[in-house]
Amino acid sequence: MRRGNLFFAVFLLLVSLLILRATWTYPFKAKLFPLITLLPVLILLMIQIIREISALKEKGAGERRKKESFDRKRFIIWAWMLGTVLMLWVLGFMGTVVLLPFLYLRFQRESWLLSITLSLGCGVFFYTLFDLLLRMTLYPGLILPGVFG
Amino acid sequence: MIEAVAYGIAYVLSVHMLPWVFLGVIIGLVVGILPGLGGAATLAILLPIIYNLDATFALTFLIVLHAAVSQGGVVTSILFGVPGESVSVATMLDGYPLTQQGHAGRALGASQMASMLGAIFGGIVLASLIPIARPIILAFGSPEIFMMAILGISFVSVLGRGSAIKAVITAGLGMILAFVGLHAGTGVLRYTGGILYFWEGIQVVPVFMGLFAIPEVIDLMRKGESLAKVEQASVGRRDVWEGCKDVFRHWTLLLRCSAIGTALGMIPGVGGVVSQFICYGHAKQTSKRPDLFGFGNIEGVIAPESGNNAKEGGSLFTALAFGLPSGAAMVMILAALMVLGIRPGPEMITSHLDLFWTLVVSLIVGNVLSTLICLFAARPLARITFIKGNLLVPIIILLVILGAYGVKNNIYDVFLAFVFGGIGYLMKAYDYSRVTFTIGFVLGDYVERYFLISVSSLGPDFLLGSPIALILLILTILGLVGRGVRGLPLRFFRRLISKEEEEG
Repeated sequence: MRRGNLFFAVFLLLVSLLILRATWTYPFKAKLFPLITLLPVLILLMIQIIREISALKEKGAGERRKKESFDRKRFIIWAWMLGTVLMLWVLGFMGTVVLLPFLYLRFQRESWLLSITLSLGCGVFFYTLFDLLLRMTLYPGLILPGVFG
Repeated sequence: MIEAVAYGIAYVLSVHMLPWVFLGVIIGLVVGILPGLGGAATLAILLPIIYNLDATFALTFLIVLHAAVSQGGVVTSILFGVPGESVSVATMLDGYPLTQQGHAGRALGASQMASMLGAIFGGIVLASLIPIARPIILAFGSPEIFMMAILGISFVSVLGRGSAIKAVITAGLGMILAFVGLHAGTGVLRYTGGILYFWEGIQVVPVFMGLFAIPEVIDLMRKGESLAKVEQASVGRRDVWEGCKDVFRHWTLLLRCSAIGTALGMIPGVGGVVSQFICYGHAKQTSKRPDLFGFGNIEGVIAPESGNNAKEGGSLFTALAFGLPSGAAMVMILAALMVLGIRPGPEMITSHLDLFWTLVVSLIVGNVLSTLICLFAARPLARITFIKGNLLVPIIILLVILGAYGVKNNIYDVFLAFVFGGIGYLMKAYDYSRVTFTIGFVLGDYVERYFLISVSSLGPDFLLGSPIALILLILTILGLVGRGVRGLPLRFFRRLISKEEEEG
């Protein structure tokens, strides 16, 4: 966890340095406030990194070697998140509204009846409210416009 | 004036109007509960319908609907950690932990009661301010708003949990995020990476949705438990009533935050997103138990809710009497007035006093009615938090997608919400404050914009010419110094204790 803290602080420092590089190219008026904000952030990030390193050293070699085990569950969760975004991009809003609850509930070994009922319920509710009643333009995805023109 | 007040009360509570008031409240609550439907968007959808309607009837309907939206928005914030509206983010910070502790009923009760009393306070102040409001409102120009934003940012030092360094880092990065897009002063595109989507800047709602809701969904997926993390919990009427009583126990906090909310509501350009955080910061600063904030302190629910709803009174006054909207919803109310052929401005108080008072009464009645409905529904709503996590995960993800998409009907907002979901998860894991990040993000734009306007119109010494701005500057400095000085003995004793422990 301590090591993760250090990596995250370094990551933030790198992002801030990239932002600083972009900021230098702007005219004075446009870069004034970003610079006023960025400079203390950079200084504080360096202080934070020093603190993280010294905390890491204090922990001792034995603990330092203890590696975090590969968290399969965490990988699955991030895969679901990425999958949801991809599903939304490809199948559109209505496709995701029906398919996401179904797939997730089946993945969690919920009953077929519950999985189908909940996903269809979500589909009917969102379609009725947003498409029929409010006439909101819901994102159609990549496939549906290609199929239906 | 008394005749106008009597007319307003009689009109809103008349037999022919009450069913419409009730319908408006129900629509407002549904809109508030569903994250994708913003109050302003709903008012915009309803605008074409009101063309041929009676002006008083149409405006009463819109105002009660608007009043109910924020009451509904708080429900998903407290129950799922998904802000139904951008103005209910601060309530979520302590409301959601209360839900996790099995006190959803209490949090809902407190939020609804605080909202109602705040709205009544705002309405009464709005009414009593009529004779003296004009000079007060006109006294608020760009230097005063700039200092108001600085005051808001100074709360970062009190709102950040844990490391103060991390809190300031995240606030700074939040401010940088606010600078993304076209810079109004120079026409320069900043941090857009050549991507057209970023030209207009980054929307608040997808960032909030991602930062706060997605880490909770991940947590729920990992554990698979219900939202409430305790087995035995009270979700009965007694728990809801306990929440209501909490508001009366903290009545001074309610009054202070309602006053802050009303004052901020009157300032054009300062929306509810700003006022809720200022109220939350004030509550934490003055609380006897500030360490509990963010872990389920009921004061953290009462403060932003009372401030947020009291703000509506001030906002309505400035919108009606001066034609100056404080936010998107008030822009829609002004548009409705114009559609109906009524010109907002000082003549609203002189020529249309009956209508003015009817709208004030509508605001109060709308809030009272939506509170009563929410209080009755609080018990079944609170039971949702005991449903198995597996069933709630896809529904909450859909709400997040809908909430992010609904702002501008742009699919990239949803992608952005997921990116900030990842960032929010890392921030939560490594203890970087998401609250200070959002404060920096919301106020960064205000600070820069009003500073540049002040300098270009009044010169670099613009602060010296404004007594209000100077008072705000002194308040900011006193607040910062006060927090530092108050923290000193605490730090001294902590060090002493740790030294003793080491020696022991």
